[in-house]
Amino acid sequence: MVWLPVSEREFLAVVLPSDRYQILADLMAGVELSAEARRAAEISYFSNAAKKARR
Amino acid sequence: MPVVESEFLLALRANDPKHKTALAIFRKYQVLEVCTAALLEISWLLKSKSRTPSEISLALSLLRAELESRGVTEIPLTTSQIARAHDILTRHAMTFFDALILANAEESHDRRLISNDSSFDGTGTVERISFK
Repeated sequence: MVWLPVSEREFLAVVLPSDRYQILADLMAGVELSAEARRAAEISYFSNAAKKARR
Repeated sequence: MPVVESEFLLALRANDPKHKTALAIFRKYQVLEVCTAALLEISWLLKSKSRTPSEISLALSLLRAELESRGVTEIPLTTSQIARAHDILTRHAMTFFDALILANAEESHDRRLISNDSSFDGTGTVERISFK
């Protein structure tokens, strides 16, 4: 992956197709689809939505 | 053309136990569709693992680039699918995202869903193709 500066604070990530699978492995490390993980993701989704609705 | 969902997307990780199978599915089917609901689920799974918004954005961009390069088309998520997902939850024991994926997949071309999730069985609206 190559990081190209776009501005003082922004970079553009350029990923070679051959690197995609490895970078996806790094970014999605530890993510699983067990019933517990899916429930946790849903609880995170709905609790955030509920907080927003209460504001 | 069969539809892929979250498990297939996770199998695109280089170190995933089903990675080679996922690549074989690309070769076998040539033309596939992907549930947009699955990409939404992946983003929430990443969020629940405390990934930063930039990391989640990059992961989704990479998934999109890979799917586009393989000619995989997205099934757009619609309001009627979201409503139907809630109807599905009244009839079947599954997670909200599973119901959303099912409602999304029901609008695919041939209603065949590539998934190892047996909760899709018995819904009567899609044919499940398992991959190991």
